[in-house]
Amino acid sequence: MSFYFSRTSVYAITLASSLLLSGCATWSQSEVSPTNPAAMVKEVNPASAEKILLTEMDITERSYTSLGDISVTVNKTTIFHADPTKEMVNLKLKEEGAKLGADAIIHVRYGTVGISAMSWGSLDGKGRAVKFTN
Amino acid sequence: MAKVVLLNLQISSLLLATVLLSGCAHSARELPPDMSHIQPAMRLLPSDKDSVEYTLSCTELKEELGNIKEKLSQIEMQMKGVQDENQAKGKTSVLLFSPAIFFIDDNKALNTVYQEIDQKKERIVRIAQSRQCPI
Repeated sequence: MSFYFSRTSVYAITLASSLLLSGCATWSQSEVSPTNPAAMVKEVNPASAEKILLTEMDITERSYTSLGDISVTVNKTTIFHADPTKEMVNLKLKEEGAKLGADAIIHVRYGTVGISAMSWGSLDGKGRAVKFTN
Repeated sequence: MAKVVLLNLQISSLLLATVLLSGCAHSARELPPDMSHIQPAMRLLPSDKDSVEYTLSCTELKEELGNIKEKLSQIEMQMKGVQDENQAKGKTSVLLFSPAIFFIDDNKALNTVYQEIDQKKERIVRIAQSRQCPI
């Protein structure tokens, strides 16, 4: 028994295999509405992103100013990859927060994982980047 | 055989485009208004004061919050089940049988319930924080 694959099929299979085997299990999109765009950090230090506090609530014990609202979406690359998780969304929110020079991201909320126009598995999250004033 | 696979892939692509335009992922709710300039005790939305939760004591708020978290985790598990089924249908449609894509569930009803309960959770947290209740 022999199989014949056209050149297009071979390209499609190669591309699919590369995506599947590559380390890029997810890709993401983000949208930031900064209160003060000029204050945005040009280069982000990964350590500063790690230090950002993330909470689904408000922070009432310290005063803060709002730096902007962040919206991120994490998508899985192919149907064969694992679905994105809240942890991945948190990481992306922290990265975007670091670009704004945030100390914390408050009111963090998540969508639900599902098929979107862009991916077989998408999860989005939103939060408000804030800087402590005391 | 290869022709069948190719044809299946082409039909899948067309069907996929149709289904994906409608989508099954649901977005996170909008963020509340920025109340950073208001004293923490006053950070409530007008609708919070009209809610049933506003009449609850700190202990009741804590208890209600616990119940809501429990409900949310149950719904999350149900949603995970639906998503897993959808992925299986998606894989079947890509690899074997394209019309399987039509059986993908958009999970809308469950998501609406989830969002409503999550909104209630947020209201309870806001009320509790404004009263400095331990939660």
